[in-house]
Amino acid sequence: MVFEVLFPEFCTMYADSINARYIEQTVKDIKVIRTKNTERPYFADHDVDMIYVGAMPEIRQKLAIERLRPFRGRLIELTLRGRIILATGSAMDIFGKYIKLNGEVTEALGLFDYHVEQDLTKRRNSMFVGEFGGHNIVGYQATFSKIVSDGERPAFNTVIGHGNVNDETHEGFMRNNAIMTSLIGPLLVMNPHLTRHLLDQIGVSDKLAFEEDVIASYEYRLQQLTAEGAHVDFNNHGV
Amino acid sequence: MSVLSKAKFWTGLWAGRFFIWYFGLTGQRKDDRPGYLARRIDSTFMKDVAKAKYVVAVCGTNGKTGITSILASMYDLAGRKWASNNWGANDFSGEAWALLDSVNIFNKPTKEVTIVEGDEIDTKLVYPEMQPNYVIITNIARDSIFRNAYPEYVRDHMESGINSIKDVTLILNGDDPISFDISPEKKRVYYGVCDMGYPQNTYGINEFTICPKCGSEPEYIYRNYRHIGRFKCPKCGYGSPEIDYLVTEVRDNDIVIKEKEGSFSYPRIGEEVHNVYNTAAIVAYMRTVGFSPEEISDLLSKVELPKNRMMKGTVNGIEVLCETIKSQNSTATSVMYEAISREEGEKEIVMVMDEEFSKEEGPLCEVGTYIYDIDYEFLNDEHIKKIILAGDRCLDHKIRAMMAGIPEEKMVVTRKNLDAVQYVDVEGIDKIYVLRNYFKQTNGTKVYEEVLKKVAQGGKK
Repeated sequence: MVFEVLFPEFCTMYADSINARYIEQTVKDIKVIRTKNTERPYFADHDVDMIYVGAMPEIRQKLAIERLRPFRGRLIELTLRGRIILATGSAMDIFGKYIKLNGEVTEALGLFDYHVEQDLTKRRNSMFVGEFGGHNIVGYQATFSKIVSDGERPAFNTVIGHGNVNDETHEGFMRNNAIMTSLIGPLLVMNPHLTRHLLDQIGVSDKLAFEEDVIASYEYRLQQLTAEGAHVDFNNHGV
Repeated sequence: MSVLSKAKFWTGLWAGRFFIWYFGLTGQRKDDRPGYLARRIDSTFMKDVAKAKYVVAVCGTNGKTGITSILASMYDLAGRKWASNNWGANDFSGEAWALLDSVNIFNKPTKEVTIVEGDEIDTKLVYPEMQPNYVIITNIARDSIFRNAYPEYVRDHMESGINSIKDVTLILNGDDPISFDISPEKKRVYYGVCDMGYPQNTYGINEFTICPKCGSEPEYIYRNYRHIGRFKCPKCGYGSPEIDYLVTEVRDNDIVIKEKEGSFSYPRIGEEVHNVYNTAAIVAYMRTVGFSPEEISDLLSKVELPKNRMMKGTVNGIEVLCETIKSQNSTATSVMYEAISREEGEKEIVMVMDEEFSKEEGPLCEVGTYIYDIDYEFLNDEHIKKIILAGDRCLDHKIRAMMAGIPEEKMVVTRKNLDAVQYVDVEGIDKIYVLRNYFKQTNGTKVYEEVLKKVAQGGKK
C-alpha cells in the first residue's frame, strides 16, 4: 500500500494525525510518504492507494489550496480510479468549490459539489453518531464552517450531531472512495468498521492494529453517546 | 453613566460585596458567586468598578494558576494589600470577584494590587473592560478543543483583548514562538530560559512548524520542552527576541537570572522545567514593578507551590506523588509524562483522568481527541513498570499507549477509579504517580489516599 499524508506540519489539529499513524501500524506492507507544503506531492508523479489530509487552522487553508491547485486534475483522476482520499475536519473545506468568509470568497479545489461558509465567531461543537454501510460512525465535530451541499452525494447519515447545513440528515460527502467529513480527531481509530471498509476497497486485508481494544472502545463510546440524557451538543462555543 | 446604569452598578457592587462578606463568615471565601452576581446585575461591572493601583492579568494555556497563586502569596508575605482569584476561578465570575474584592462599598480601592487569572479565550471580552496595567502571558499551546479550538485561534483572541488596553506592559515568554510577538506595538518585557540541556525530543505534536513571517520551516536553536525554546527561520531570519530576564543557570535549589543590572540568584520553585519558566515570569514582573532582587528572593524562599496542584508522601520507602493535570489538555499531560520519564527509580503510574458523559456534568463532558495527542512515548521506558489506566476513557489511553509501543502486559485498565488501587504493585517500586484530573480532583485524591494506605500495608521497608 502506498499512503501519502499531506501537509503533516500543519494538518495536525485535534489529533487528526493519529489516523495516519494508525494506518501505518495496521498495514504491514506499506510505504508512507509525508509531504510538506514546500514539497511536490508524491501522488503527482506516482500512483497512491490513499491520501490523507487532517484538520488545519483556517488561516492555512489558502496555502493548502494553492499547493494543491496545480494537481487538481490528478486528484480528480485518482478519485475516479477509486483511490482513497480522506479529508477530516476543516481539511474538507479545501476540496469544495469555494470558501466564503466575511464576504470574501476563496476559490477552493472544486473536486466536490459543495461550498463552505465560515464564521470565526461561531463554532459548532458536538458529539456525532452517524450511519455508514450498516454500522454506526462515532466522532466529534468542532468547526467554524457550515458545509452547504450543492448536490454532492453524502457520506454518512446523521443520527446525533450536525449534518450538512442544507441537509442535516447527512454529514460529509463521498465519491467512490473519497470521503470528505467534518468529523475530527482519531476517526479511523474510533471507527474500526469504517477503517475496515476503506482498507477492503484497496485490497488490504491486514487485521486492524489493536483490533479487540479498538472495537471494545468503539462499542463503549457508542453506548455512551446514544444513552438517554447523554450531553452531546456543545453548540456555538466561542466569543 | 445614566441613572439606570448607576443604579445597576451600585446594586451589583453592594450585592457582591455583601456576599463576599457573608461567604467569608461561612468559610466559603473562595467562592466566585459574588462576582457572578455583580456581573449579572451590571453587565459592565468590570468596566465600571474602580481599580487598584496595579491590575495584573495572568493568562496563557499552562501555568497561569500557579503564577497567580505564587504572586498572591508573595504580595501577602510582603505585607501588601492584594486581591486575587488565586484558586483557579479564571472565568468571568472569578475575574469580577477579584475586582470586587479590591474595593469597598463606596467603590474606593482598598487593595494595592489585583492579580487576576483569566482564561485566555475570554481576554477578548474582559480586557477592554478590565484595562489591566500588566499582562503576564505564560505560553500558548493546544488545549481543550471545544473551548479553545487551536493555538492560532487563542492567540487571535488574546491579541484582540490586549490591543484594546490603552496602557499596558506585557510580560512575555520570549521562548514561546507562538505568543512572544503578540501585539507588537505594546510595551514588553521578555523572560526566558537558557538551554537546559534536555534531549531535543521529537514530539508527536509540534505547535510551531511554520515561520509566521515567510511560511518556511523554522529551526530551533534549542527546545526546553514542547515548542518552548529559541528559534530562527533560516529563510527570512525571523526569530526569538532578546531576553530581558534570562535564566542562565538552573541548579538544584536555585536559579540565576541575568538582567541589565546583573545576575541574581532566586530560589527554585518546583522541580519541573515549566516551574522554572513560571519563576522567570514572576521575577520579570516583580522586577518591572520595582521589587529588588533581594526582596524577590526572600519572598520566593517563603512561598510554596499551591497544594491543590501536587501532594506527596513517602511510606515504607516508596514515594507516592499525586500530580494534577488539566484534562482535555494534551500538552499538560505530555509535559507531565516527560517529567516523570526524567525521574530516577522504578516507577508506577495510576492515571485517574476520567470525566463523565451525563447531562448533569454540563460542559465537562469529555472529548477523546486529546488522548491521541498525548506523547505516550515518554512512558515507553523500562523503568516504568506498570501503568494503571482508570476511568471511562481507559481504553483510549491504552490504545494510544500501545501505539507508542508500550507493551500491553504493562497496562491494566479499569473503568472504576477506586478499582485502580487493587492493581498497584509495591514490590520493587520506588515511586508511584497518581495523576488526577484538575476538574475532578476529588476522584484522584481518593485514589491517592487509598494508594498511600496500600503502600503503608505492604511497601518495601
